[in-house]
Amino acid sequence: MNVPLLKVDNLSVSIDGKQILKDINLEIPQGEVHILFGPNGSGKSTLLHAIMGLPGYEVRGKIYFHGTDITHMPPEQRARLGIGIAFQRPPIIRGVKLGKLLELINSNKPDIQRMAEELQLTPHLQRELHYGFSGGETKRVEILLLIAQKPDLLLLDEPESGVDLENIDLIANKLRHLLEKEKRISERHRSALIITHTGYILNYLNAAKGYVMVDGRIKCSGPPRDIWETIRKVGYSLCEECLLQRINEKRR
Amino acid sequence: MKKEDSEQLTRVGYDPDKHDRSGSFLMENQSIIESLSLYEGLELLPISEAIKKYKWVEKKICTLVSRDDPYVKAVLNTQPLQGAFIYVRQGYKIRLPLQACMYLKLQTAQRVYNMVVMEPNSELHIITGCTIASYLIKGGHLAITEFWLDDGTRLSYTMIHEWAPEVVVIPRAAASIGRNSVFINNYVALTTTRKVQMAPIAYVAENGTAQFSSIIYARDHSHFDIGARAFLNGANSNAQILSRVITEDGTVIVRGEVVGIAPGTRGHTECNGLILGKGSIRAIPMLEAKIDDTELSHEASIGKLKEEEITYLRARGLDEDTARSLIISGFLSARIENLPTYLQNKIDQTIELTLRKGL
Repeated sequence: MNVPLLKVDNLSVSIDGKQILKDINLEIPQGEVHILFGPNGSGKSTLLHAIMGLPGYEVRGKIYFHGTDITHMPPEQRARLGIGIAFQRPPIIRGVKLGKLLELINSNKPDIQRMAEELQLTPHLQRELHYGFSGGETKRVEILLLIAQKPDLLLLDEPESGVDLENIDLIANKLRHLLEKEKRISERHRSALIITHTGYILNYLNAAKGYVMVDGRIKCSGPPRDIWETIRKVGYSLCEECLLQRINEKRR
Repeated sequence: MKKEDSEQLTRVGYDPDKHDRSGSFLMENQSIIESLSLYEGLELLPISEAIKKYKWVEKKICTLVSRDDPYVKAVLNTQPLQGAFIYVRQGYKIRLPLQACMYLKLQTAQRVYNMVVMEPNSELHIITGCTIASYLIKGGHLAITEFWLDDGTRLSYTMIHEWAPEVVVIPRAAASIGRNSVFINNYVALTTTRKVQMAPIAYVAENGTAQFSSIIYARDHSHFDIGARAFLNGANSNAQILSRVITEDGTVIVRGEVVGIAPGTRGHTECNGLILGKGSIRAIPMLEAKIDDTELSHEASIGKLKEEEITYLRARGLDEDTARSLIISGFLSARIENLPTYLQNKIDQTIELTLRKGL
């Protein structure tokens, strides 16, 4: 049996002694896109941050990447192994130019120029990181940095929130390309775990599985479009009663 | 020139080959090694020769800085007076930078007097490097620089200092800025220095601009007491005093004084400080309005490196040291308005090289 690209095993996460995530279990095989739904404050971003290894989280359980236990690895080591994250609200870093950071991540200068051009970010290479950027620009920059990193696993925290339709189109098509959606499933190497509140991203990426997180727990999982349709109609109120069960009943 | 001297001087912006330079001046201890103008309309002489050549030069000496200052007296008591005389004739706009370098190769106190005279509608960019031979750790540098900018002139004066741990540096400078003229004064000091104390003064006439930027990295026991003073004497004149300072076990005092005297004037002083490890930063703004039609403001922020920024860069694959170094060099690399690209690049390069060496 193939080793999943990512395996999260009984993961619990606390911040300053307060438990945020409880017994999370999930597996993402190579080449698959999974979607994480859930109301605000349910712990979705915390899960992505814990997988990325950001400091400040007390972690119990295990995280495996390519079969290697990365639970206690620092974030830079995880990034070098092939995990990349696009933050929902990245910090402004005054004085640090986007182009300079890209050069440190990826030494192929012509590649960077081309990627920036494709995301309409050429003038931004000389600008300070996220300083004075619009919502759409910030998201595109996050995607550009991910493309430069070329990770095997993409953690995307609301890549389309606060972005106009034109920018969503641009971002989603870039992600499609990065996730090798033009290839057959067996030939795809990259996977993604994506948080979405708008569901727009589902129109572009053929996601294999969706999860609903409520109050730090994954309450159910299933076909992401079905989950999204239900959430759109009734919100997250039914989640406590096991959304998955209802979806399955409906399908039958 | 010996290889080690050449390397040391290059670090502070001096190009031994004088490539893309409008002039070159080099003073070693109390001796003038080189005083060369490469551009029509630009005169570059040792001040002692200028005093002999132009009667008005001696009359101007120390009319802008105070003769009561003991350090000014110490320089004036040095015989012969030594330093650079830079004179730009009317209408000449010289875009290539002039390099001037003060080099200390003996464990002594170098005493320098410089004069810059800009005739109407002229332009010049000066890069001044002051440094010490690599085998010395102790010494002194006392300097006076007086600037006369006639109407419609533009002068940028970028000073890069690289001293040693036991060097004491006391520069005194003052500028008379004519109508519709722009004076840009930049100071970069990133290496450990026992003491630096200076606050150049600008007297700004109608529609004139004075712009001071300081970039300081106070390591170890370094003590920097820096800043600037601007007197907005002419209507619609303006001044900005900006400082970016980092302390890592050093002490920094940043003073920014703006006095609004004439109507329609604007002044702003700003200090951004970053504390790494121990050390202290004290920002002292002083605004004085002598008329109601003046707009003066100050702003200061002092803090530590933000963990969120370091984490963000680590998540991109940068180790913690590289992330910190990138943020620190970014913090120091503020854009300086109106500065030619070459000089901005030189400042950025100096910051990067020094940080790479030091962190």
